[in-house]
Amino acid sequence: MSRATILGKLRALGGDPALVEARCAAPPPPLAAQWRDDPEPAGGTRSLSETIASFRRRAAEVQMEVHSVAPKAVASTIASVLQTLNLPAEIAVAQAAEGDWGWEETPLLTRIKEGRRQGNLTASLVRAEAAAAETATLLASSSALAPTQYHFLPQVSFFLLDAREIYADLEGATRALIERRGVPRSLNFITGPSRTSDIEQTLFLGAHGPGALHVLLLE
Amino acid sequence: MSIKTKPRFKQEAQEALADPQLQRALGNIREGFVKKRAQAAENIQNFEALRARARAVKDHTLDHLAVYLERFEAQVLAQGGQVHWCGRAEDACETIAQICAGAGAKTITKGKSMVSEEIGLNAHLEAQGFTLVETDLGEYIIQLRAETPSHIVAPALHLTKESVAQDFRRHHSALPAERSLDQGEALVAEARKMLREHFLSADVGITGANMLVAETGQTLIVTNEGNGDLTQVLPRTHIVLASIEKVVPSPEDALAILRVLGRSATGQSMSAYTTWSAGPRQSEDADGPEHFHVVLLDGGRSDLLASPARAMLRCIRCGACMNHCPVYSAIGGHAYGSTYMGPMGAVLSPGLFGIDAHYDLPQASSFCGRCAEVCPVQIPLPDLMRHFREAAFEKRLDPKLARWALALWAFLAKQPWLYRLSSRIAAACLRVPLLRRLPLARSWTRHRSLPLPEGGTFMAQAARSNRFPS
Repeated sequence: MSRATILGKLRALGGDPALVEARCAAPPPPLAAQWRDDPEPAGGTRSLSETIASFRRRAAEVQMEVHSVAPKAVASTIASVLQTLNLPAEIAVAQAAEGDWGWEETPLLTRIKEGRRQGNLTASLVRAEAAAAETATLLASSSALAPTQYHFLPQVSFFLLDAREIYADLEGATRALIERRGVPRSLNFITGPSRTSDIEQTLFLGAHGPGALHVLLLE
Repeated sequence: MSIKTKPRFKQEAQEALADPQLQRALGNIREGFVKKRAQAAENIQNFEALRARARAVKDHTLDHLAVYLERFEAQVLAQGGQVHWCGRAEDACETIAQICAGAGAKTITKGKSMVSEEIGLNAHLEAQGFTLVETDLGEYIIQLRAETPSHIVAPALHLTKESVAQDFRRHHSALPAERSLDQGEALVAEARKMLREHFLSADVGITGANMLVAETGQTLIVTNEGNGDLTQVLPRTHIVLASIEKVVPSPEDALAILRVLGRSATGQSMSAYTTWSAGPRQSEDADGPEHFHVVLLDGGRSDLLASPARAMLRCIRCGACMNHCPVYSAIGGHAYGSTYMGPMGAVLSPGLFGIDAHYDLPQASSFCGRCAEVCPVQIPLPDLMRHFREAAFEKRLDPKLARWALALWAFLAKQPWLYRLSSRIAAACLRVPLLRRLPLARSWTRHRSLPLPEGGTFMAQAARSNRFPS
């Protein structure tokens, strides 16, 4: 059975390109999850600070640590997290996450060069292009400056996030990203560190991906 | 893998009930999946509205399936990927084997995919000499044990950590024998170490797809471990194996499904990772596969779509129906003898592979209705099981004894005077102590006493009081 046979059988069961076109032109409005513990927004629509507060509540539920940092304190925050975790003071930085983050003030933290297939990566710093407060989901896409493997290979991953890029719902964050750069080859939604419950339904962090995830929030 | 010979459901179920280790493992479901789903649904105000939306997305897409599949295909091609249409399981297996051979593959890593289980992909590729490694922890464990998944979301649900530790000691023989594997952490860490090498060295990565997005040509997988994600980013070739009903119109529609998928499956508002892939690596990309293939499987779905059981194609494989099923909770997944188990399996197995091979699965239900209550896309599972029970009856697949009993009841029901007489006799017999063990229902009466009737039959009481008893 080939393409023609399968599509022929399906077409015989109905389907109307005009109706599909109509729905694409006027899709149903997004329906986000309404959390019981999210307070009613003060002025009817949610302010940025309320959205950030909501993002933090959800992040805590998925073992994701959020640090509010000044740009110059990014490097020192990373160094102190790595020290707490008893990990070597080295980090692979995606080019998209480069910036004036106070590297000079934190000389003991080594930035290691990007390379393909870094199986022994300890820590990575990447940029979240957008986030959704609804589920504390970070959005990061592939590009020349952002290797996708940095999201999955290290033991601990750090995400830079501009607070203005936090959208209330998943649709807002997703559309903003696609409108900005087109459909990316790879788009990762990341909601907390890697985990598994495959052994007796008990939760363990760090199954194949990072066992710890830190968001460096630039407000 | 579709089972060709008639599975021995009754016997398997009896053995499962008598297996203390399995019973201990199944005991985790109530405190795990069931409690977490209830909490997740409770935490938000509009869970019912989210279910209705997810169902509407699936219904709309199924109504226009050909249109959306063609749109999806056009996008994948435009992005430099390839799409392969496969009617039968064998076609899909052979197509994938050819892609792997063309890629010069030796080692293949694989993300979790129930469609690959359905078509028997692992056996097919291994027979052709490829080394294939399952990367989801649960799938990895059962691959070591040469078993099939006992649950569509948690494939190793039937195992305790002690048995996993034994399997690891047997297969990871290069590691020091004196290492401790008493704790779950140690097992997870050991699997991480063993699989990391495979991720880095694999030539081809095969994943399933939770969804295909028509508007953008994206394929989408949901994982918690990050295994499927490493499987698709590191190797030179990425193959996506998906059945045709997985397509949705737009990213927004995919999000509508994701909102109920994680909550229904594991009680998570979102799984840790949702990875959307569109075509091969672009010239400017820092990493990603050079070749991108989507293998689309019909596998009986176009026939199911034309049947009265078409609502089953809304299924998003969350596993909530089996987690809440008293039959599944008692016997686990293997007794069903099919890739798909529990209430969804009791419908999908006969729906895809024929009622002849899976006559007894729709019978394995108390019709309590919990499955339909928790289904995130509102599939009327008991109604669909009843549809396949009727199909089995029409094809005379049920045992002679059941048919005789049904014929006897039908005969009595058509003669009211005889029906009343015999129910009076039956009520009287129940008062005789010796008859409280029925000769034809010994396994039922071994654990339960038949109730003593109070007063006369329903009809007798109604006649006496001149109204229905309260």
